Amino acid sequence: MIKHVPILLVAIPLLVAFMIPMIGMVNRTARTVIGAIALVMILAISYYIAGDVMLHGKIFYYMVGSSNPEIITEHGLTFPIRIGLKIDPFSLFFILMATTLVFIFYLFSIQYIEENERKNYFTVLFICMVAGMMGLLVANDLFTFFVFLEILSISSAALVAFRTERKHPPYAGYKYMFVSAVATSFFLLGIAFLYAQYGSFNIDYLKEAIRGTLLDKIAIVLLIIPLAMKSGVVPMHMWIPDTYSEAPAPISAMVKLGSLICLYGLFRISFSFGLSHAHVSYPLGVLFIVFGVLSMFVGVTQALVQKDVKRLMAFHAVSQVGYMLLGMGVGLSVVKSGDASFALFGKVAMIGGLLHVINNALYKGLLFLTSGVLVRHFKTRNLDAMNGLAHYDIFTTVVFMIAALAISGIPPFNGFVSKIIIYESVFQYNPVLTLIAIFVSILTLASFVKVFYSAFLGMPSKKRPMEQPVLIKCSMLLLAVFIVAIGIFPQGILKIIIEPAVNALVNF
Amino acid sequence: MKILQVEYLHWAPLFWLGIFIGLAIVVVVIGKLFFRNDYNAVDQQSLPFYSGTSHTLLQLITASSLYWGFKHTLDAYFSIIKRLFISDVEDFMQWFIIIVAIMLLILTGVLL
Repeated sequence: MIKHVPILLVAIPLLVAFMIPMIGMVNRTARTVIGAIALVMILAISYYIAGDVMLHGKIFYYMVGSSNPEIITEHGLTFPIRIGLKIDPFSLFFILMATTLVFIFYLFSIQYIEENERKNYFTVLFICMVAGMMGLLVANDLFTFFVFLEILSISSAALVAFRTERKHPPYAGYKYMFVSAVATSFFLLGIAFLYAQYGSFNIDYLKEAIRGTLLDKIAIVLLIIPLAMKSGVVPMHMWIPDTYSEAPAPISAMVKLGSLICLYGLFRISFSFGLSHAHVSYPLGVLFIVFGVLSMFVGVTQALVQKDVKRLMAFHAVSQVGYMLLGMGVGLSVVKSGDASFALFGKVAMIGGLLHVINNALYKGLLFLTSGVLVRHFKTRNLDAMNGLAHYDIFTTVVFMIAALAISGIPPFNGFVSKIIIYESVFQYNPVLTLIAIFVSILTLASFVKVFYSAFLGMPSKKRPMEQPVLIKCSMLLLAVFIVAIGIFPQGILKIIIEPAVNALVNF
Repeated sequence: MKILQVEYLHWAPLFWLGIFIGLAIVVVVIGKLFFRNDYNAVDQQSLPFYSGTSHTLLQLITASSLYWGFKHTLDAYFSIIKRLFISDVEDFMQWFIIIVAIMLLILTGVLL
């Protein structure tokens, strides 16, 4: 049974997504419960294999259509299809993050999305999005990766445009669909360049075969820029505020998670195809650093002047991607330089970058969920029209403070840990980069002080907020607990999850 | 180089958490022992006190008015940013093509 884990992670949500409309017509509670069960199943599967993969270095291979799916060659294939799947520590790190967070976001959405808001459609698309994420994370061939990228994009766009009765969400969904269509078209072109040369889609094979020719470099660019666009890297970021701000809160959090999954693809392809050739990896790493610094600075300065709470948080999402790119970029440019001390701080920078991915997913998710509570209470996204929520809703105030302090890199929350690792290692690469990163953190804090001042402080609002439903509180509490736990006990996650993931990426 | 052990700082969150809880207990104990306990929540003591300004004026300081000095100083920067990113689908396409071109020029060595 355990050998089927890679396909189960995709098949369970996909199957349940197609069952949901029929179940929903019969019984709405059963529909919600079955959706939750599917997410719990993939969560349990991912944690079940975590020990084997992270501690013992086991890698799961799966060839769909083979009589023995663990045989990764074409020998034994009973169908002429070659969908190759693989789970290694790097992909499992993202799988663990995604399965945990989608379950929490689903819990939030159960009581946040009203039944009269076509919840059947919502649940189908939500679970399809999860299937897209899982498929993308386990894909070991570029074409399968492309297919799941499309599934993720289409379901995300539909969810962004979910509230079609309003004016802006369909337009935001259209924008997202356009960006995704452009990105995936170029991605497909990149795949074609590699297939034309090497006759294979398999990432493991291509990694060995690739020679760093002109066509290879063109292919790498055509593969990574679409993923950078989908991750919201400056200057290709403007779809992010438009999209995140129009989607319902749990969907903003899910689309953000989808962007981080695209970042997985960006790192996977860059390190797989670029790392073995220094004349590719060094400039690529430097470009990552440049885009990282641009994303950090442009994102945070644009966030600081926003008065729409969701746009403000969306711009911060852009800014935070910059930290990840900075850490991974330093790693990419020096980790195979041949100098041991360079390689060491490059690896530490990558550890910081990867830890920031999960930290960001947690506090950004919590911030989007709290923004949902704010919007639902004040019936507006305009910070000017909000005031005094702290007088009535202590719970939301406390979890917002935890998330805001975490994103600003204040100890003892998780953001501090990943940021200090990035500062420490990047300082040895170039101190100016660390100074910029610290300056961006200060602006981040200033920006969230503004939100806290506007929405939570001041005179009590005239309207008393309704008590938050229990699942909404539970989901926000879970995220807050993770944020504090990683902040206080970072060594565990660093040793057990992040370091094996970085090792797998470097030695891929 | 050990992770999380910088030259001037050893990250021991439990120690700092202990310090924080200890200080909080000290503040609460001192408060109970020495602070006034005749606080009356029903009169105007419950309202925030803003020194030097009236409540009506303070309510005008909204989120969009905050950091006006920062915004004013960076007016030139923000006008450039606004012009560069108009958030139209054409804008997305344009930036995408520009970045692909720059990356190709750099990676293929034309610009290096």
